[in-house]
Amino acid sequence: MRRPAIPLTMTASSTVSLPDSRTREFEAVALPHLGAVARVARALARDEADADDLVQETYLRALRHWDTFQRGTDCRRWLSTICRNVFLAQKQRGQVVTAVENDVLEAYASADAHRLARASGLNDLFDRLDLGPAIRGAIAGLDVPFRDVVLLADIHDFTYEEIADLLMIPLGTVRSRLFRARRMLQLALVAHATDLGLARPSDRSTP
Amino acid sequence: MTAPAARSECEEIVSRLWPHLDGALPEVERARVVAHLEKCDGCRSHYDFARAFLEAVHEAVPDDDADRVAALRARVERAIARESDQG
Repeated sequence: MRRPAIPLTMTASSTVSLPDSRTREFEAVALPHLGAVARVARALARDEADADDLVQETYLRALRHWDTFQRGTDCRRWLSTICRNVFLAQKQRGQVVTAVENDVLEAYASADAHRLARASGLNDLFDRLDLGPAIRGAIAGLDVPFRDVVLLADIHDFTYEEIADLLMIPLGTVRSRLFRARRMLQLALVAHATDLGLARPSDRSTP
Repeated sequence: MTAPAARSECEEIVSRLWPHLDGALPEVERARVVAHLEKCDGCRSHYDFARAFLEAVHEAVPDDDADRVAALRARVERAIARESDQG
């Protein structure tokens, strides 16, 4: 099923008269999804203030175009798409990633960091340490395209398909970026634990 | 030393660990991964490491809490009211 077209731009002059019943319907149907839209905004925007502004603008744009929403379809998805479009229109942000994106190769490499951790005696890295600050720092250090997919998938529990939809990138690219981002985070955390002196000299007998 | 055939099977399973943990595998593949993990300590170890990593990441970054969403909702409702009044 095709979703309704989402307007990319909006000007003050396009504000229209809003009967109370229309607004009430909008509030009843759209506002329950505010938490989900806030999560999308938080994943896309740089900071909380920008994210909150993005949520407000998303709802105002959705209200102005409420007539284009097909009743009975997925309102959360409709709002999330508007949120994504507002964000992209505001930021004019590119989606260029220089690294080669190959989800199959990234998937095969998924155990690389574990092998390194195991060789350094850090097999139980995540059970032994409070890695919260290190994880937050490592995520902040990721390039934006990688950070976006990690936040959407691993913090906000979006599916691969939802992320592909939101960021307008192919499904394979979502997987590739996500798996690569996770590998980069794992390697950063192993390095962090090593810096803390928790690693033992590398044991090459470990496969 | 792992036999070539077993190594190939393990590589296939390792390449599906992330989609498996993300709940993104079709049922047939999911069952194959689960069956392999039950009999292969090496792959099970990779799986445990990956799962512990995802749990640590999820716990490290707080999601939006209810109070914050409620405050944001009140703000959006005010904006909607203003928009309606202007109409």
